[in-house]
Amino acid sequence: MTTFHPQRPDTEPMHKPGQHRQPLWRQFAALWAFGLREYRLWQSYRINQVLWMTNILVTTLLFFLLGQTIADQAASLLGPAYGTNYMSFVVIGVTVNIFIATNLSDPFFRIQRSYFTGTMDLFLLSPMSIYTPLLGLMARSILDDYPRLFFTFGFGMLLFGATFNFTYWPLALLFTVLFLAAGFGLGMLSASSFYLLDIKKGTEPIQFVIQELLATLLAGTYYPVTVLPRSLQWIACLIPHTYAYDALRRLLDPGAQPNVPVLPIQHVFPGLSPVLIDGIALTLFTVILVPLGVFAYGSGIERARRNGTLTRWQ
Amino acid sequence: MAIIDVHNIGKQYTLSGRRRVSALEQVNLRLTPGTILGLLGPNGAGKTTLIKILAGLLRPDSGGGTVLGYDLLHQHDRIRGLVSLVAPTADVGIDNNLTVRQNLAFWAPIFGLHGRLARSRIDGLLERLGLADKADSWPMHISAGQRQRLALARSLLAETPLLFLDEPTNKLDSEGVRSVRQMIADLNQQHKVTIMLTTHVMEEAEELCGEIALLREGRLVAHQPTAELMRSLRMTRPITATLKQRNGEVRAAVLPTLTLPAATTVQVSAASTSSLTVNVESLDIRTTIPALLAWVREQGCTLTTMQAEPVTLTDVFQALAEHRLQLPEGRE
Repeated sequence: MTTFHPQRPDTEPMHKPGQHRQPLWRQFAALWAFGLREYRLWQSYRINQVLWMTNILVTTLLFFLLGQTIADQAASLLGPAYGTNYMSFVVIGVTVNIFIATNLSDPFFRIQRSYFTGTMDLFLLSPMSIYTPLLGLMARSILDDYPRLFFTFGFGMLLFGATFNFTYWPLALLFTVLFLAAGFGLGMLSASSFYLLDIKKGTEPIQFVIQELLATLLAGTYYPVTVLPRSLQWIACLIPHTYAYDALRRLLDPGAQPNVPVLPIQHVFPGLSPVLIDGIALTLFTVILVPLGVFAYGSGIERARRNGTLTRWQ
Repeated sequence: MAIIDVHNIGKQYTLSGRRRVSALEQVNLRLTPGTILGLLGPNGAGKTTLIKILAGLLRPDSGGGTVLGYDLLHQHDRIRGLVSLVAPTADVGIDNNLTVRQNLAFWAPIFGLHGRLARSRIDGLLERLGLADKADSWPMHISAGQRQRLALARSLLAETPLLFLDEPTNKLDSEGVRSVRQMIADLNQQHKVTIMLTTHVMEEAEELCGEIALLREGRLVAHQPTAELMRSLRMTRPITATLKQRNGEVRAAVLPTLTLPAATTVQVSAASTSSLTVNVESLDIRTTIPALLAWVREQGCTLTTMQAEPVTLTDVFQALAEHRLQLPEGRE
């Protein structure tokens, strides 16, 4: 028979004013628990794993067939900045788009889901920071989506003739991290609308406008932004996707020329390297969007706490 | 120090069309550590709103105070980390894709438990709640009662000093009800956990709760020790006794002279030449009945039948719902 000791020191009950919440390592331990749960779920469905892998393979094949179709026009279409291999061009666009869609769209979806199942009430009644469940709940999508990048690159290279230049891979990784951070900032803004704007059902406007509309049409996922009218190219410069795609293609596509400007803003600063401009832009997006997202989400929770919409339990 | 000490708590909700309704008004509540408080009231009385406020999940519009020593308005995040809740829907927080043990193992780090301590506490709770043999079962393969116990186990993992139970035996079979009530009593008596319980099962509140708080239309209309409350609410219960005169003759002269303690009305009537019927409305049958029996002996009568039922919380609740309740003096 176990003994029960409320307020035992080893559970660090913080019942004395002035004491702090759980230390950071315990927040990470809680995040690990979320990840472990999702991994257990993922690995328990064998058929799901097969379908997941098949989906990646089919997607990569689709890129390959597209690449074959326009192989002759690729060089003139892509221009000198992004090389001549459409397969490599589109693999970067689509896989990074999956990446960012996770960070941008998932926070709202996970918050919405855990609110309606009532689980969010329980997460909020714990020593965790309000941001820990937000991150933890994304574990499912991260486990599902992030590895796609490596498999898609792998299939593309091994089976379908995609080639990449890995000389600048540390820089490419840095750009990817910056992009993911900026995307998560947008994702937190999107999640905060659940509480701040009381958008409980239907489509969330922030992620719809940025991810579904602007990023899909203007950021250059499937084609370079140069095919767009000049005004739309400027609008494309308002979202981080455009800079991430531009930089990653310059760094990873074989034959790409890093110093040929493509985006309108790169033409404005001819003395600066386009990759540097991309880096500055992504850093600015990250520095602005992450604190803004944190603030908005915290404000959303407080607003919901005030008007009684924080929990589903009634 | 009181574990809950809040004053003038008020809360309004805005409905569609910007109409505002009052959910709580001027609620004062003080709870000492180790108490089980039964929070009773009809649907819509404000019970859940009050629990949400005390748990730090809802900000009151007015009033303030402390919970677990933390300021209700400014340290709500600390409060949230130190209270546990069992919601009426057992399925909340239970993942059907994880076994019973895996479910608890998922929640343990969220409550700050790790390694050996987490494992031993999970094992202990599974054993205490009769779930040890279901540890490796999927939640969809266990009964509703067992799922409720799993939800309770999850909330108890944290070993918080304050536990909110919102209809904890809802959906349970009689065995499940018994074991959960026992667990609640153990938690309180052996481990001094302070518990606030809402229930519609009055027998449960009477059995478990040392104190009762009654909410009606957002107002706390009473908060007292359970037995005292039922006495102080001045709810009368009928006592009906039939007596037989041993000498075969009713002494009519004594009839108007009968007075009994805690009785609001006493009517003695001759049922026949040799028997009497006594109808009493008593505020406290435990006081009235001994006096009535003494009077019967004094009169040389034999008690043939007697019917009496004590005031139960069901009566209190019913009266509260029907606005028939006469509140103790000095209260709202």
